[in-house]
Amino acid sequence: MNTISSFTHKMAAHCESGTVAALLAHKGLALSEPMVFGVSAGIFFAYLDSRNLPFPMFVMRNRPGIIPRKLCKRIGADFAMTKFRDPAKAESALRGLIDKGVPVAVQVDIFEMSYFPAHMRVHFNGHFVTVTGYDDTSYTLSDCYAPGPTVVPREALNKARFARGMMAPHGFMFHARGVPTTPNLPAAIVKGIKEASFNMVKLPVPFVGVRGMRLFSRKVLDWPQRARDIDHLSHEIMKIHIFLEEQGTGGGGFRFMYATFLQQAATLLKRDDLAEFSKEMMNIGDKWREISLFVARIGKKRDLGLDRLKELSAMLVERADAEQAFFVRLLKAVK
Amino acid sequence: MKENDARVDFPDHQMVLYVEKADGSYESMQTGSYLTRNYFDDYQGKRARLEETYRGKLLAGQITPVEYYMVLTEMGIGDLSSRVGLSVSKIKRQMTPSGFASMRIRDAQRYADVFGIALSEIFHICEQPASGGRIRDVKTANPFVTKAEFVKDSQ
Repeated sequence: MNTISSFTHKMAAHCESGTVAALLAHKGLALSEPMVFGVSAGIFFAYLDSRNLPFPMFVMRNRPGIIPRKLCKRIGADFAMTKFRDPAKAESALRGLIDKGVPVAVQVDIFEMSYFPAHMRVHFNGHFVTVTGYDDTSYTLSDCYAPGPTVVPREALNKARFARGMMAPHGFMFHARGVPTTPNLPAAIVKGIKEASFNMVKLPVPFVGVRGMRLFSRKVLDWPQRARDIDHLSHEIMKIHIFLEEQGTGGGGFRFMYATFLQQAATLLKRDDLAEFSKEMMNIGDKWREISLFVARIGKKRDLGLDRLKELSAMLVERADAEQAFFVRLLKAVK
Repeated sequence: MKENDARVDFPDHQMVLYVEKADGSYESMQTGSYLTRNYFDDYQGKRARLEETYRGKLLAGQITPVEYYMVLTEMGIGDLSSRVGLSVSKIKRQMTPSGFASMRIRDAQRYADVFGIALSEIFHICEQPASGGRIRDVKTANPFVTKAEFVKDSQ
């Protein structure tokens, strides 16, 4: 087994932010996961419904693959990012880097990651892992969701890197070539906050940001007509909890992680107003958590009548109101 | 979220959350999954009923294995289309018994790859043994030959 022994595995809340933070740390730049997430404007909301999806869903973060790009641009790090058409070339490039002792992050379909239990393995192409070793039949991975390093069959990783469908990875991989010794974090933080706030309240797209939350609050009332039966409706309602708490969000739909970023930013920039925003964001996250606990409870009890869904809808409207007020003020504060 | 509110004792499914510590600082903490700890039985029950319902439809000839596995893997027809590289209309045709009967083996292999099953499982399913757990076909190096294996329900 050819393994990079100097790479330190660390669990993280979010796969992409955690992977980027781990690559930076390996290269000598200690940047926290929330800082990576915040600088790259990771916080987001979108309500998604299309024929590609078996059921409507929502996301609480920006598009997979954006975080390393935005971060590099803002802090001046040098990441080599490559996509491939030929799986053989992609594997050869990956192995070549590991031979040189360079850990490489790859985008994969989580369905092929055999170390996860069966119930977690759904087709989702936006997962990121760091490859730290290989032999003839397998790869050693550092997956932020796993407590320790894991191993997957060679065939599975190759398949996961070239899965087709929405957000197809096309063999996307990246590694750190160079990191700044003293990145201009204050400027990067302000840019990250500006972009995130703009995306949440200013983007004129009906299913994005706070508009997306309001759309979600209306559409959730139609979910009973979209579901096959009560079990299916219960499953989809309980998935709201997964999207908010369990799917690599750090809790409260990434809001707790963003509150942590704002607190760190307040210290770095010596700005008390950001510390207040941080507390407010923590409260917003708490309210999202109330929603996730609520949906888990009504989902399990199959208490899914219109009254309950209206209750859920009202909670979502309340979240939209709170985030609209929050991000409008945050945007003004950093202008 | 306060640190104590986030603490879930469930070593089998660990995750990282960001919490407020006693001193007011926000930091990460490793804890167990609340949902898996408290609601996994409910998920398994729903899953078992879904499999039973669709297995019944499959055995009654109301649906084809393409639809059966698509539902079980929670995929939409558009996503399945782009993953297997077949048009939506072709997939819809192969969801009918007559369309399925005329399907090429090459297409069946594409479906098997996306559904994460052996090719032979497109054409036959194994009944649940009375003792719990199930028999599953496991892929071998030969795409046309599978090996039957007993697996526990939780896997």
